Amino acid sequence: MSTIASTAPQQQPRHALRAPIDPTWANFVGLISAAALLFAFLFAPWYWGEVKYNGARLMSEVLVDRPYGQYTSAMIILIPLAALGTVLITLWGLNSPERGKLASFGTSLFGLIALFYFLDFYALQDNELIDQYVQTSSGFTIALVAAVVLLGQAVLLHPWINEGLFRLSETGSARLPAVPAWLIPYLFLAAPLALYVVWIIAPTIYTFYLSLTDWDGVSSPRYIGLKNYKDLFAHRSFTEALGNNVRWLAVFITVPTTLGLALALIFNTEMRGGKWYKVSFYSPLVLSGPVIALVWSWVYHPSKGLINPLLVDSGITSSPPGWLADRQIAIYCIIVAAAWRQVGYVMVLYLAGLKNIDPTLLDAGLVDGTNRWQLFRYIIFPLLAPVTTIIVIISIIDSLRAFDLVQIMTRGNQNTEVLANLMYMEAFNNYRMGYGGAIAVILFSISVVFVGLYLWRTLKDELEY
Amino acid sequence: MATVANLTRPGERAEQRRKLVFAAIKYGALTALTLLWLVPVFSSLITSFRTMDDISINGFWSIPSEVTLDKFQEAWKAARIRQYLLNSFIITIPSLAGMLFLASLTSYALARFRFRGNLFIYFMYVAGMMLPFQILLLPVFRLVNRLGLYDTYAALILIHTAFQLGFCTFVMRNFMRTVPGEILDAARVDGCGEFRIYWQIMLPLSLPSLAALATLEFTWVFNDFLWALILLQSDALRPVTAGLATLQGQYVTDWPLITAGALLATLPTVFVFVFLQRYFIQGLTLGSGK
Repeated sequence: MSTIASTAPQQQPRHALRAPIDPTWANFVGLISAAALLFAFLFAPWYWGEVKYNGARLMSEVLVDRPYGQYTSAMIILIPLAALGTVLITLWGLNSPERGKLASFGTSLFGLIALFYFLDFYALQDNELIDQYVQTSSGFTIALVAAVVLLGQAVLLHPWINEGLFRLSETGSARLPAVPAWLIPYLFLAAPLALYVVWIIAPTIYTFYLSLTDWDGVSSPRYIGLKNYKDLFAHRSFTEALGNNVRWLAVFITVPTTLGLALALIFNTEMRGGKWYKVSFYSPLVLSGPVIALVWSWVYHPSKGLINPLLVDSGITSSPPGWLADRQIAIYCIIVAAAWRQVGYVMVLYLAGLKNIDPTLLDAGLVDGTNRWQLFRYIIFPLLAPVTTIIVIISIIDSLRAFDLVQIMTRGNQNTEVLANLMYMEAFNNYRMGYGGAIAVILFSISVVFVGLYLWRTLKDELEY
Repeated sequence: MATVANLTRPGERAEQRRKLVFAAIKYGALTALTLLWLVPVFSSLITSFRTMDDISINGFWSIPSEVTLDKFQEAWKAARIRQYLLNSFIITIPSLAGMLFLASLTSYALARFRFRGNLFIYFMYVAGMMLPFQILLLPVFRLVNRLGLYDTYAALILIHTAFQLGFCTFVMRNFMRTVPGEILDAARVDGCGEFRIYWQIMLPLSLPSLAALATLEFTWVFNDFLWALILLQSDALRPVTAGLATLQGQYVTDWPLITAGALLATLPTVFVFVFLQRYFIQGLTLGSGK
């Protein structure tokens, strides 16, 4: 904070003495072309004709020796490297004028690196496949132009051009009207909001319409009224899924919450090695759904897994349960795996909540001679109430979102169907998209209650303000 | 020390001994619980070093007859984990850059300006972060097909960027509100444009929240499974989560291979977690909206 305050006035006298080279122009041009390079690489078709892939896909084909990889030079990996490098170095340069010049030279270097791919493509290599089957397309062209600009932007540092640009911007800003103050926040919001509306808000609303149609994913949707919803309540799979979601929810708001709170209370006190215990409990948080699903499927495997051989060998039982193969308990097996991850999350949130409790309150309690249980029951737990509410709401929302584990562990068989998985299966396996839409709407309607609660809890203060 | 011990009354010494026993029990119980907690992780690690024949014949609870790295090698190349991981990175890194940049723009506007619709737009972002994905699947699937982006990285990058905007905006907007206004006003008085204030003052000051978000979002986007399932078709493009699910179908009974693949798939997120744990936890607590 103090550095900003002190550098700002220092710059002005320097300006007055001699017009220094302003590297902002060069850096800015570099940043824009790097963005264009990356955009072309990821989104635009690199070739057309036989191989209509974009640059990113071609690169992955090269790197893992897949057939289409031979249609490009392996040097294609230089393109994203140069683009990312330029983005980083120009951002670094733009944030402080002293580094600008260096950043500009660095950008040129990256431009050269990117151009090496094109040089390699046109001159160095002699690949008949490329000569015969490949015609370059828009992505390739944009990338080539962007790479040339990257190399060339250092020219803007030359005193003559730099001064010219400075004058041009002076006259330009004098002629253009200033942006009115009320417009400024909307300018900041425009791009992200457009993306958000197109990809999140509009689809949410559009699902409601699709749920009233018989869309199958191929032909255009036809309006059929509430038929999907009537079918829904008549089908057994839907009530089964709803029941399992309720089970999931019931376990989720009790077991991980209690266990997480207990662990948080233990680890909140200073203890030797406490950090390692904590890490062990929240490490499952970084595992992806599929990894957890696979690991636990193996744990539950009836004959070669982890639990059953132990049960049989130790003589506890000769006919151990089938776990995921048993219709009665399969859903609970999945919930246990899910709760395994959830406990760490709950613990983290409670630990943060405990840190915010004023220690003088606890000391006061201890002086008054309360025992540990009373301290927890009458002081700590009430103070944690806001955290508990948030955790319960998050647990409910998470249990309604449950999908990965069910999809991988049982695909919804063995009486383990849940709404999220049922929706996916109906829409994308059976191509009953309209019907799937109706399930999504039901799921959404249940969630909305709790999302509303969550919003109300977190944003209460904002509203009062 | 010795004199102190001699001065204490016998009752206190018994008290000390009681404390020591209590501590021993506490540590013993905690260690046992922790080990039990991590059994799935450790046992899959052990499994991945063994062969299926060994496990089939002797069972898991036996001394391994041989220890081998073959399964890791097989998972890396033959089972294509190498390629799936590469795809995951190609999808995750641009999404991360996109969402952080766009969310920081939004947050600056929402945190620092008073204008009509400010609170409404903020509500919209916060509500969006809690939506069940299922409500978006069909229209996004349709949109992606219309745009000709089905089965491309671009589709996944766009949906991840858009969806995570909600959470990033929520965290960053609240962080930016804590920055004292005097700094910004001082810059404004010096004739600094709004974009420069955002870029050269606000963003550097928001680095802690950016770091926390980047760590957390990396794991989330990297671990996404559903969108990859919906928006991709070619095996060549699959990120590692969807790739693992395919492995399960392909190598149904080869558990050492599957666990080896799962462990390799987790390496990037574990790496992030180990080295950036502080930010990860910070992000989680910031995001709970206390």
